[in-house]
Amino acid sequence: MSLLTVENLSVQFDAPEGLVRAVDGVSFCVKPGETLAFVGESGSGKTVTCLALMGLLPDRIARVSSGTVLWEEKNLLEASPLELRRIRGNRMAMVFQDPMTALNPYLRVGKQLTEVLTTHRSTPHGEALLQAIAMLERVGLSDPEGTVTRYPHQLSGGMQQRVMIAMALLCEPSLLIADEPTTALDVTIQAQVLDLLKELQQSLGIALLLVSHDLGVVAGLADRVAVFYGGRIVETASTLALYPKPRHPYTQALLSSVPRMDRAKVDSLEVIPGVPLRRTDDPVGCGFAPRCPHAMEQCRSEKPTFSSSPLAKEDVQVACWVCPEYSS
Amino acid sequence: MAGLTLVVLMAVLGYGEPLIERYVTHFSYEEQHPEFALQPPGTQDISRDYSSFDGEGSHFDALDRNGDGFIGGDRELRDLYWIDRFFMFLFDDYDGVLPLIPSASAPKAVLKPIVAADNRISFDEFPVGFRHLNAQFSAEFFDHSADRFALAVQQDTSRLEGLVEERFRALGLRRADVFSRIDRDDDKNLTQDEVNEYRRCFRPFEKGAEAVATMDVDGDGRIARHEFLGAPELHTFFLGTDHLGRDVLTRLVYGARLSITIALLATAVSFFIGVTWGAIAGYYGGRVDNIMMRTVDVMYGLPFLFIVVLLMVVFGRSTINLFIALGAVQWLTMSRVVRGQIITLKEREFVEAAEVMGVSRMRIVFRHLLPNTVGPVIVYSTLMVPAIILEEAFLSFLGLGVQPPHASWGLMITEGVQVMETAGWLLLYPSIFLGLTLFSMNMVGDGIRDALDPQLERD
Repeated sequence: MSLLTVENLSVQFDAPEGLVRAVDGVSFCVKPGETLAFVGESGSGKTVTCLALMGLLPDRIARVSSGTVLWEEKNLLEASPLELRRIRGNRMAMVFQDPMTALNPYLRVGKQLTEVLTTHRSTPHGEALLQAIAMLERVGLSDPEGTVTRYPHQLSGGMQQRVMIAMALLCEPSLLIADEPTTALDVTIQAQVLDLLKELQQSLGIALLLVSHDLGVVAGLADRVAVFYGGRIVETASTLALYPKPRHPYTQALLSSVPRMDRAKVDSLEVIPGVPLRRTDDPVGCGFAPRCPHAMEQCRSEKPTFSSSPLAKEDVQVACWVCPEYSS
Repeated sequence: MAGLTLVVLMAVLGYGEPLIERYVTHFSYEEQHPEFALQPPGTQDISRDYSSFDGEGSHFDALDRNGDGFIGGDRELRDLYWIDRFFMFLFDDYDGVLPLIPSASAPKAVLKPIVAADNRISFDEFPVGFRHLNAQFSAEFFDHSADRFALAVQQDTSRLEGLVEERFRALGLRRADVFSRIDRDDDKNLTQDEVNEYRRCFRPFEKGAEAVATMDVDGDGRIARHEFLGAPELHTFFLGTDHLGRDVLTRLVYGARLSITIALLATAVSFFIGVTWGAIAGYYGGRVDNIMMRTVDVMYGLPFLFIVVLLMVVFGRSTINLFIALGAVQWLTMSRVVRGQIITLKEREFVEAAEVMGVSRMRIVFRHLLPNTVGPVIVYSTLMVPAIILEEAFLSFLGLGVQPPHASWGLMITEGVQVMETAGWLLLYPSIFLGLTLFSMNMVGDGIRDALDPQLERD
C-alpha cells in the first residue's frame, strides 16, 4: 500500500515564449517509511513535481493538465482548499532549499514553530512551545530554549535548516518533502543535516521525498531514485541497483560526470554533449535522443514508455528504446 | 526617541491646555481682547489686571498694620471696609476684588493740601480735594497704598490732574460720573455736608465683615496673605495676539490638541483601511485584486473634497467625523503602497512555507506578510500626518472643519498667511510648532520602523 501515488502527472506553464511542459506524464509512488529521491539537472521538472504535490503552483501561470495525485485514496488535485490545508503541514510537510528565505524574518522562531501545532492540533500555546523546544532538541540544536526566542537572522544557516526541519516534523507527518535541503548550506553542515534527516526518518518512520541534483547525497540517503530528464522520469531504480548499473544513457552520462575518488585521476570530467531540451518543444521521440550516443531511429520517432524490465525484482523501470531490457 | 518625546509632549501640551491656561498663559483660547488686537509677542496685558492686583504686596502690607501677616482686628478690618466701600463707590461692577492702576510711573504720595481755601471741592479739585477733605477716610487709606492706588497728591497740580484723568480712563470711568454721585445738589462743588452724607452711609464693621467673608477662605475671621484678593497678575502675550486680541500661545497649545488628534486618528483610520485593503488585494491577486484596485482608481478619480463634504453632510459636522472623513479619503495611496509590497513579498519562500504548513490565507496575510511591509507603511504614515494637518486647515478654511473660536494649527496658519506682512508672528509661530511636530513625526516613524525590524534588534 503506497502513501502517495502519482499517475501521469503533467504540469504546464504559460510562458511568453509558449507553453512550457514542465512536467510531462510523471508517475511514481512513495511507500510509507521509504526514501525516494528525485535527481536530474536544473529545469528537469523535479521541483515543479513537488510543488504540484503540495499545491504550491502559481495558479495564474501554471496548471496541472492531467494526472492524479492520490494521497491515501484521496485525489489531492481535486481536494477542497480546506481538506488540502488539513493534509498540508499535518500529514505532509516540506523543507525548503534556502532556510534564510523560508523563515519569516519578522517572527520569532518559537512563533513560527508553534503555528503549525496551533493551526492543526489546536494545541494551547504553552504546550505547543514545549513541544517545539523538544523538537528543536531532537534536531540537535544545543540551546532550544534560547532558540525559540530568537529571530531567524540570529541563527546560522545550519541552525535555520534544523529549525525548518523541526517545523516540518512537529506535526509528525507521514511524508516529508525535502527540496534540495542542503544546497544553500556549506559542505560540513550539509553532511550534518543529511545525517539528521536520515536519522529522523529512520527513527520516526516517515517517508521522505528528496529532491537533489547531488548524486552523492542521494546515494547516501535514498532507497529508490527517480531520474528526471525533460519533465519525464527516465529511470526509476533502487539505489543499490542504480549506482552500480545505470540503464538509461542519461543516467549513465550523469553518473560518469561525477568526480569519484575511487577512479583514476582525470584531467577533465566527462560532460554530456549538447544542450538540455528546450522546454517549449514537444519532441516526437525521446527527449534525450539528440544528445544520446546510442540514439536509434526509433528513439527519434516514438516516445519511449515505461516498461518493467525483466529485472523487475530489482524494481527497475527504464524509459528507453536502447536499453537491453527493452529489446529483450 | 527625541522625536517621540516631542510628539508626546505636544499632545500632552494640547490636552494639558486648561492647566497651561491656569498657570502659564492665564488666557483662554477664545478670550478676546480687542484693545490688544495684533500685538507683537511680549505685549503685556494691563487692562485685564485691574480685576486683581497687588504688585509687590503693598496693598496687603498697608492693610496689615501690625505686620502679623493677617488682616484682622477692628482697626485693620475698618481699613478693609474703607477700601471696599471706596471701590464700590468708584466702580459699579466692583465685586470685592481690588482694581489695578498701573504703578510704574506713579509718583510717591505727598500729602499736601491743594484744595482752594473755600472749603469746597470743585470738579477740578476732585478727587484730590475729596481725599484731602475726608482726612480720615483718605489719609488712612491713601497713606498706605498711595504708590499703588495712585490718586496721589503732588505739588504739581497740573501733572496730577493729567494723571488722575489717565487713571480714571484706565479704569473705564469718567471723573464727572464719580463727581456727580457725591455732588447731590449738582452745583459742581462738593460741600462738607455732601461729603458727610456720603460718609454717613458707612457702617464700618458690618461692611468690613463682608469684605472679610469674601476673601477669608479658611474661615478664621481674618485674611492671610495668600487669601488676599489681589495677587499680582500682570499677564504677557508671550507670542503676541491675533486680530481679535486672542493670545497666540494659548491658541497654539489648544490647537496642538485638535491638530495632533485629528492627524493621528485620521492616519490611523486610513492606515487600517488602506493596509487591510491593499494586503487582501495584493495577496489574493487575480480578479479580487482587479476589482479592489479598480475601486481605488475610481475613488482617486473622484474629487477628494467632494467625498469629504459628502461624508460630513451625511454623518454630521463634528471633529470626529472630520478625521474619519479625512482618513476615509487618505487610505487610497496607502493601499497601493501595501499592495505593491505584498505582491513582492508573497513570492518569498517563507510564504510558501506557511502555505505548505497549512496556515490559513488570512493568517498568512496578517501574521506573515503584513509585518514585513512595516517599513514603507510606517514611513508613508508619518508623511501622511502633515498632509492631514494641512488638509484639515483647508477644510476649516472652507467652513467644514474646525470652526472659530476653536483653534487648529492649520487654521492658524491660514489666518496667519493673510496678515503675514503686518503681523508675521501669526504665521511664524504656528509654522514653527507644525514644523517641529512633523520633524519629530518623521523621527518617530524611523524609530518605530527600527523598533519593529528584528534585524536591527540590539542584543
